Amino acid sequence: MKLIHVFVVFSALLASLAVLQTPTFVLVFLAVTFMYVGFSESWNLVGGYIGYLSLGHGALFGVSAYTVAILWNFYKISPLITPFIGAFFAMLVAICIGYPTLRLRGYYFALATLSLPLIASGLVNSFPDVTLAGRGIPNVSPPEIAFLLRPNAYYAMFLGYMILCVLIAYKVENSKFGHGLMAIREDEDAAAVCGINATKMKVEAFMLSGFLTGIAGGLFASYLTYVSPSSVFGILLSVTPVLMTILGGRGRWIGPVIGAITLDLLRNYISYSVLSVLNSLVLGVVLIVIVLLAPKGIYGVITQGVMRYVGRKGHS
Amino acid sequence: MIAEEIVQSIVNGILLGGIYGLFGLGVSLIWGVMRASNFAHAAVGFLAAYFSFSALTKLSIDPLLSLIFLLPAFFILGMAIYRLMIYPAYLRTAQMDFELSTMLLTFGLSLVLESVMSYFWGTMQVSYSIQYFTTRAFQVGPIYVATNGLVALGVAAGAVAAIALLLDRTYLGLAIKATSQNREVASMMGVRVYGIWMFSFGMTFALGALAGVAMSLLYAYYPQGNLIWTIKAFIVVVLGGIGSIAGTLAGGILLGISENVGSTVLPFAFRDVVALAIFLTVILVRPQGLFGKK
Amino acid sequence: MLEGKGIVKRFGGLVALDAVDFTVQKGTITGLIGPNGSGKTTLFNVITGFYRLDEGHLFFMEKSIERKSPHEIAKMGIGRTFQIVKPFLSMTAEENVAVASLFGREKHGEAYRDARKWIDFCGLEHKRNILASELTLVEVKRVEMARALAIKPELLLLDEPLAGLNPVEVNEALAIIQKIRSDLGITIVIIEHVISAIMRTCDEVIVLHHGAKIAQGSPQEVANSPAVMEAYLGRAFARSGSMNASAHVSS
Repeated sequence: MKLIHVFVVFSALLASLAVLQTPTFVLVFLAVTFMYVGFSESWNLVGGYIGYLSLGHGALFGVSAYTVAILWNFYKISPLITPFIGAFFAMLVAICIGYPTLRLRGYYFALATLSLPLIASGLVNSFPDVTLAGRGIPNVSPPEIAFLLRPNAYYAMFLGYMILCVLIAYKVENSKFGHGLMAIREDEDAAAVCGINATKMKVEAFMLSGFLTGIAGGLFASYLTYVSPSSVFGILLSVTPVLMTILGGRGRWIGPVIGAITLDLLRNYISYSVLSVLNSLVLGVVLIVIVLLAPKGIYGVITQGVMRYVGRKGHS
Repeated sequence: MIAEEIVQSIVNGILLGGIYGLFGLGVSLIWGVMRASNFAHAAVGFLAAYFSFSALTKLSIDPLLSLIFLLPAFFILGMAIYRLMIYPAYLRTAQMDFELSTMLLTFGLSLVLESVMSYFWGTMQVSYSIQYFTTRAFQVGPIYVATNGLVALGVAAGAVAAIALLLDRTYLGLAIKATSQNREVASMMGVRVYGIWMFSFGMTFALGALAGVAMSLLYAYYPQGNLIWTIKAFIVVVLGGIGSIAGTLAGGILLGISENVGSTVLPFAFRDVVALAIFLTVILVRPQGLFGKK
Repeated sequence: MLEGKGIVKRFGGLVALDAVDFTVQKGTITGLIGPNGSGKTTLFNVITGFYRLDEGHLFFMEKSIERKSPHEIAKMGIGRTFQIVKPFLSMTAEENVAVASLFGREKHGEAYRDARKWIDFCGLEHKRNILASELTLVEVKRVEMARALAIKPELLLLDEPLAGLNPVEVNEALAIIQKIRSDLGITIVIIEHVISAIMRTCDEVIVLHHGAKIAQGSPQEVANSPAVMEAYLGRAFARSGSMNASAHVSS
């Protein structure tokens, strides 16, 4: 019985909550958490498996969100279908950005991606005819879903999204593709002499990551019922999956799951009990603590503890 | 008329660029000396600005005067942060991860500082109306030159001169240069490398404080705005090249001019886009900067 | 098998490789020697695509490889190890080799079985599940060799495989190298400073000095060449006599 099986079973059980009399606030909290798990898993494809920290993933998220909002606002295409179109555009953006930037060293890649959400935000503000600029596009809402059923519907959609992302991450991790990515992370030259085309693989991973992130962004647009530069291109949105994945443990599919759940519980506790300005404070402190004390994340702490208890790996 | 606008924006750009260059100095210094990235640079600057703001409103102390207290205070703060965060991170990470670790750490620090500032000073914009000359602006023909801007530019020039003097004329400066070029050899020559690092980190915080106060003379600010200024400091360093003080200042001016000219020609929101587009282009085409050495 | 004509590589004003001509015959073990800084690793980097040559031509199995990138060259059948070892630190020895099995010239449904084979060939069975970060230098060098073999190369470039090894380990490594040629038919080029090992093992020796080739021939011919003696030993060659001295030369 492997961990991934446990996860799938547990998620299936969670699906039942959609049809029971679960209180709305639980459904809402879980739905957002599911979204972040998926978002972080897709970030991990590049940030964890390759070790290239994308600090601007929010740009991909927002591109898809705006695509959905614009298609609804001007063409009245249902926001239930368009997330896939939005994801496709996010993937295109990922290719365009990825191809030049992934050749750089990891540090410069991080710097370059940092600027992306800001560029996107600026572009949105510069074409108000299409994007309604700072005011944002309101009333993005699928007519197919009855108002009362909205929480349940989005709960189910985000749950499905999370399962999709986790399974894809698991599949990648155990595949030739994943081994190649991790070899690139460890030593790109050594990977090259093993026959690995690093640039191609990095771009492919980034494309996949962009597509999955785009699905989340597209769904989020109708979930929030509006999009605006600050809601989808804000720095917090880009930093959150980074923080969640690092917190949980990069480089393994379980890391984003642990990190997203932990951080969301933490954040919700904070915002319900104290001032919301402490949101940034908590994120900042968590980031500092993790980088200094537990760079392998919670998962790393757990496995190190287990190893110390059981004995060294492969001891003959 | 268009020519006038463009010249005016160039002038504004130079003044703005001086501040960008000033922010860039601190980032360039710490990157050159220890390959660490300080993403809390502007946050530190903003914090200093807020302190000077309180000094101004509660104690009627002029911001530039309050620097007399702020600079040493932030210097010490910088050394403390080095000892608490940066040095431990260095001990735990490989060379290549150090750059990224410090980026994340200092980014976390900037979030912490941001919430501290929001808590004590609120999240609304703050601006001053101090004048250092009898007029707000000199007039040269149809062009206005903001006097506060000249003050800020003067501060920037002074800082650059001071740093240059330090590096070229003192033993300490020599030690700093040696450490940035080759750490092992420097330590074999008797340089206390970690001491130099700590000193440099203190210096970068002090420079940040200086830049923040200078900025506050000209521009309104609020806690959440620190990140874009930090990014621009990095843009300036990337443009001007690591290891080149003059390059950093030049990079800052270049950035300031492009932003301002860009926003007269293109829609206003494009201002940041221009800066970032330049940044991306330089990173992709010439990562060592326009004036830098590889 | 491998042929270079007039290869020039410059770094700014420095000429690292100066019109180097060389040939490597199939099935041979060729030594590449020369004082430090003579361009040996640079030549390897040019052959394997990490550096692009400025002038000249390079042929592998009759095909031109001047413009190819490292992974393409690996896929064409040239494997290499590095002077400063580059293992995949967070993976085990076996996983290191499995990466090469997966991406090498042949498709493998069972990459781990293939990796196991190469690990055993290089004598590391008992350490295959140990993380690379916890292996000794000798063991990591074996992993690199196994990893290079796992891409099924026709030509193997070994960059100072004996550096840092004690005499017993040197003999073991040489035995493996010879086994690679005799059992697998792979052509080998070795950069080394341990002259006695080169003399014993190699069919041909190429000598570089200041980026130029100053000798190519059998070990005996090269050892007796005045140009080589002067390059290595300078005036002192008069005292020590010839290159056949058993002490290895460290420049």
